[in-house]
Amino acid sequence: MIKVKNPAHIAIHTLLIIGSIFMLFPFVWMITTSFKGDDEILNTSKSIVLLPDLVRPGFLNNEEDQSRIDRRTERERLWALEQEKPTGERDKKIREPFKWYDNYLYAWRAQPFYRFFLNTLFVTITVTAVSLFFASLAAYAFAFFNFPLKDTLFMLMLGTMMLPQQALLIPNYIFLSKLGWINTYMSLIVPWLASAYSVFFLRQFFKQLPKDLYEAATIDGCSRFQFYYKILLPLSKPPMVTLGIFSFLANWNSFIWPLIVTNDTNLRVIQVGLSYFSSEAGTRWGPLMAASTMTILPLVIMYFLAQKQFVESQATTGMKE
Amino acid sequence: MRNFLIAVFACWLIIVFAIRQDDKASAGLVKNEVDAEGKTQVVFWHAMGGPLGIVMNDLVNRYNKSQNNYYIKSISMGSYDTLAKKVLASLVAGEAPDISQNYETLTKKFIKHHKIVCLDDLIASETEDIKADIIPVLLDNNTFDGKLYSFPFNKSVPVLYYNKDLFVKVGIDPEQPPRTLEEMVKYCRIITDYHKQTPGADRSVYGYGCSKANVWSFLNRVLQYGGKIISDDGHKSQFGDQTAINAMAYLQNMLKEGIAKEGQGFDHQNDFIAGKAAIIESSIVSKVYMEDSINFNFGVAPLPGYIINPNAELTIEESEINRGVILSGSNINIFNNGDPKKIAGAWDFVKWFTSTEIGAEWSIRTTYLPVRKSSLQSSIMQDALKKDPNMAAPYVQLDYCHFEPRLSVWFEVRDLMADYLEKATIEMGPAEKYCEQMARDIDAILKHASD
Repeated sequence: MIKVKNPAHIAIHTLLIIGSIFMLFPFVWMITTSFKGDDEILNTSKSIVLLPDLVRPGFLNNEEDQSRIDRRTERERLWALEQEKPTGERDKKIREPFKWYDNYLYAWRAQPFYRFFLNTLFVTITVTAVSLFFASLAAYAFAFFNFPLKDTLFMLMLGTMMLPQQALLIPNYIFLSKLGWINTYMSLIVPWLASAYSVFFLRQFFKQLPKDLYEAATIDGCSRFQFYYKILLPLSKPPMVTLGIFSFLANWNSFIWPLIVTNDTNLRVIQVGLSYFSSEAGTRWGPLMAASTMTILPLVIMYFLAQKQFVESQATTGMKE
Repeated sequence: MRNFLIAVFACWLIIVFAIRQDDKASAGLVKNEVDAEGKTQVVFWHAMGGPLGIVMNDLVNRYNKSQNNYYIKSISMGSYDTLAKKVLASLVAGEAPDISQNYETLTKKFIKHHKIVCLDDLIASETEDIKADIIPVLLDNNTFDGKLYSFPFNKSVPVLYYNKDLFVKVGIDPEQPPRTLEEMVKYCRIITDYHKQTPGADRSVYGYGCSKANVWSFLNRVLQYGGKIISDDGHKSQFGDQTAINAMAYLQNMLKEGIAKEGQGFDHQNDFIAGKAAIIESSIVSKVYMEDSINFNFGVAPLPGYIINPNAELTIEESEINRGVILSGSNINIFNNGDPKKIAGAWDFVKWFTSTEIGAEWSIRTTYLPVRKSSLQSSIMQDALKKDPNMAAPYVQLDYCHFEPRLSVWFEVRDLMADYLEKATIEMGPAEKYCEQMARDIDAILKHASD
């Protein structure tokens, strides 16, 4: 018999489990769909069938599933027969049956995904690292020093957070084109190096640190930059990691901006690559799901690596000294 | 933490290195494939993705190899919406492409601001009478104040797709798709009832499928009922007319009876592929997307028409059926970027792409309409039609093809119509009510529209 310390925990955990099922379901569906052929994806409209035909145990199959599997077997047989003939005599109407990795193969070949990955990684890492550095410096100034117009400047900066990105799209484009940066890495990186949100977030954290710390360090001979580098940064690991993850995710997922400012395939990022699978007359669900799975893979890996830090930072950001 | 930062920096360096390597590799590839050096580069923005994009790129590559003067750099923008946004932004920034796909409403804006080249000037220097060979409706569609300003490029028409196996199952002649709107209702009723009443049949099968708030389909029906979209002077809509009310009520009644279903986006296409929807109305271009997934015999037919003056003594064959369909798809503009060489290159490419043979090939591989009459008569087209009779439906409809009003406010009007069409099939009130309100709201927009 398991002993339950607090009966409320049962309710809480039940809720959490239900919540996590809801959260996980789309991911599971995406991944399983990526292993299905078109007829399989589109035919199961009456109920949601998660497992692909290839791995689903027989007793779960209904009539429709069974007839589809039979058709597939028949197609495989015909295809094998056709392969025995010399190339010229084969009936072109008999198409190769679907293999489990076909969607991945199609997706990977349809677009230069290797390059898209490199671009996305390059832009994301650069932006995340540099914007964290800039934001922490700005936040340091706003939190520890007094200078003329400090509050006005801070308010102005916060004001930029209120403007929706869509409204800035065209003006920013024109500005960058005057600089001659359209269709370069600069246009993908530079506009995102300063983030008002990050500055705000870090300033709030820095403000909670005792001012005495700064004074004590100064008396001990610490220069302003030394205090930032030797004391402030090590103390603010949790908020930095949180911001890092936010920034990483936002850049990894950004779509409209990279699409607007780049023209060459060489400069395109993965989200733009994903959009190629749907168009005015239909969507190729299989390859789209395969490509999406490939796209989130690095994020999942990164999340597991940074998870410890992330949970820690979530737990301490609300704390006061 | 220090180690983590070092690791990130190392990763970053590796990525930078990999990008440089990839740049070098692709630079070599471009050189091997097509020697772009010494050629005038012409930038072409389009919205063709998926299977259509593959055909497009194939043709562009062939053009680049076929001659030594110009190099077409084709760039896909993914969707028409993004393409339009990018073209507008790039024009303001003074960095417009040399050619791009666009809708007529944008063309009008470009003409007003002198951003595009008038094609009549380019055609004038040709020995061949190109204009005489362009399919009339496509020529009208691109002529503004008597002058040709854009070139038809990827135009499509709506068609009916129907499941021949289902037709056979319920006892309808699979070679006789519905010819009139009434006949379609009749067929849908037979198909739905059969599946509801026969034991063991799949009860989820239904007659007619279409997408929700489908302006295109509604306007087609308005024409089929003999109606008009807007008045000749362009300041008044005709949606208060009985024809528009009939067009709206038609779908409402089918939905009420349960013999039709509306879906989001491409749901109806998926239902058709899955064998649930027996008849659907969609663009002919959807054929390219659906074909590979369909596991039954299917037919493609012209949209049904309407017998305006029914005579009980005449059969459907003998009666005069009023038909009408509306063109969709985009045209191509040549921008005036001040370099006559680039304009000449752009025109040369457009001419090549829409020429008799290439136009026919583009049409066969993508189902878009060819631009020229001679493409329709060409031997490759005739051979292809023999091989796949399903290809014929769009060409048959050319005789009674129209286009939507080319007003600058038209997209606004379309959005408004979509709202009312959606409301009409959700609330299921009398069609008169929605049509009247729709007409009133649209007239308010049209009254203030400048052109």
